[in-house]
Amino acid sequence: MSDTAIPAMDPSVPNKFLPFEDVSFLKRFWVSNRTALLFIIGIAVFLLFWEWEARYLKIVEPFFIPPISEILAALKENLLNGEIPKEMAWSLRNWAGGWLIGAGLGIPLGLTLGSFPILNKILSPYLWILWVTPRIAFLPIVIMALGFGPETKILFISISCFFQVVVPTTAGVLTVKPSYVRVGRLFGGSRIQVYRKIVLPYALNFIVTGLRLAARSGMMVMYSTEMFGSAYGIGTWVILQSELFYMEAAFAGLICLIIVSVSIIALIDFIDNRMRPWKSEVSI
Amino acid sequence: MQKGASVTDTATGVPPLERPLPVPTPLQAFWGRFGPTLITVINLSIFVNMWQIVQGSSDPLVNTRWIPAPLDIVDAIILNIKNGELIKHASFSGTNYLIGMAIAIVAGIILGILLGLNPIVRSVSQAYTWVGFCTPTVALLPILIILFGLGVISKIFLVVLMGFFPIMINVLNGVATIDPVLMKAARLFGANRGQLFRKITLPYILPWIMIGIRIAAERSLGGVIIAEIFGSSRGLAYMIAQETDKFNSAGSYTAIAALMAFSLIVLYGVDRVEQKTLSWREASKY
Repeated sequence: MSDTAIPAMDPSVPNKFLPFEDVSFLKRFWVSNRTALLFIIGIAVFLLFWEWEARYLKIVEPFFIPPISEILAALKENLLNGEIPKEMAWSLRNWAGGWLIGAGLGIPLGLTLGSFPILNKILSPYLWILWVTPRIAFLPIVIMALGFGPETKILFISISCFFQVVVPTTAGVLTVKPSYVRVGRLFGGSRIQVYRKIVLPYALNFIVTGLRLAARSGMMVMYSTEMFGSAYGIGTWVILQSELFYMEAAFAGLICLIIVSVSIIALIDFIDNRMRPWKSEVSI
Repeated sequence: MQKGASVTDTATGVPPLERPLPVPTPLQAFWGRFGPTLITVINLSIFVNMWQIVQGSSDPLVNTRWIPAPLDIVDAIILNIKNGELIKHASFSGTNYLIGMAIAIVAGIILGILLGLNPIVRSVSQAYTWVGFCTPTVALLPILIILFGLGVISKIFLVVLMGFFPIMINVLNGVATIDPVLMKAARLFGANRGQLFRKITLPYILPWIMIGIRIAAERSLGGVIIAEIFGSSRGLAYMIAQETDKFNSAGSYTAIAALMAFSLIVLYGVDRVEQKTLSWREASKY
């Protein structure tokens, strides 16, 4: 045996160049999707427990928490006869309108405040006072003034989104590293060029974070405003059903609402991750 | 600069490195200390004066049913403090809020740490917590009211639900980022499990806990307000709704001002605690 022989020729030496052990398809699938699978199994166990509890155990009166099968039947019925989609569309239209208005006002104002320190000094006390105020407290007065229609909801959603956008945008413009700006000026960029090529891309990170947070808090405000009183909307519909003690429909509406809001937020986060893979912030 | 060094420098005729700082005139010192506050106060008082001029005249810009004049609000605040209404409502809201927040903080931290220790359990519970975090929890209020009635329990429960998930998700994320090298090093130096937890895990996730508490503090305050507006017989938000129904806008602005002050105190308190506990570490705000 010479040294040049490849190890496989020598039966006494274990072969270092064997192909990887053949992992079964199931095992690979399990390892790569473990979290999702466990999550789904957990939910399935929870729903089975719910069904069992409502049918046989009856810790809580089944009249208040009906079995999940009946809830699903009510969900199917209300989805097919168009009740839930109609109300959901009304709510989501308000949400989208408020989000767009809030972002449309918030981004320019945030950029202005960040670029002109004197304006920032004058306006920031008011912004901070309104930022820390629980703005939902104005709800009864605004409803008295504007009525139960979509105007009140859009106003509240847009104010909430506005604040979620304006504060990070201002912070983004203010925290641009001075050395970047100096380098830009040094290489002969005009003020506008420096603003467009350095300040704006830097602030973009903050703006997108603000938009994401705004979408989330807008969703919260959307339901809060419908709580107090509204003509339409999924929140109002759920309240109506629970006041009629038609609990199956109320739970069906709630499930729909949870699924829609969670998936909208997940979609926004997904798009955000795709568009800015370089972002280093923690996902909150 | 050390004292000894400057003494030897003067002895050899070299001017001392410690030159005395220019002493500011009293006016400069005053301006440096209180200038920003003074500007803010002047700024705000101009705003309030203009508000009073516009709304307090005989022909107000907006109907005083919606926006009263500042002096009327001050009168209403004094009146409500004197007849004890404000204290009664504020104590009810404050108690609900504090009890709910305490439960949420304790439960969130304990559950977060327990579930965060095992990576698989952590990733699964992170998924659940994320769903709970993104659900608009206020929407559960009608069900909570049917289950627990219109009393205190449903309100505290809503506060707990709104505060629990931000804290829990932050603790879970924090436990996930603990540097395994640190854990290994501590084990190598002979730390037992208790010491490991106390000296590494807890300090490591403290900033995360504080971020969670800050988010929870804001959210839960909204929860208190919504629960009281929706159905209650006491509380600041109930007072707002009631006074609005009486078309007494000064009265409802009194309660709004009380809520503002309350949230300012809470947020300021959270900030102070954060600075005290995390003075050794930079906490990210977003």
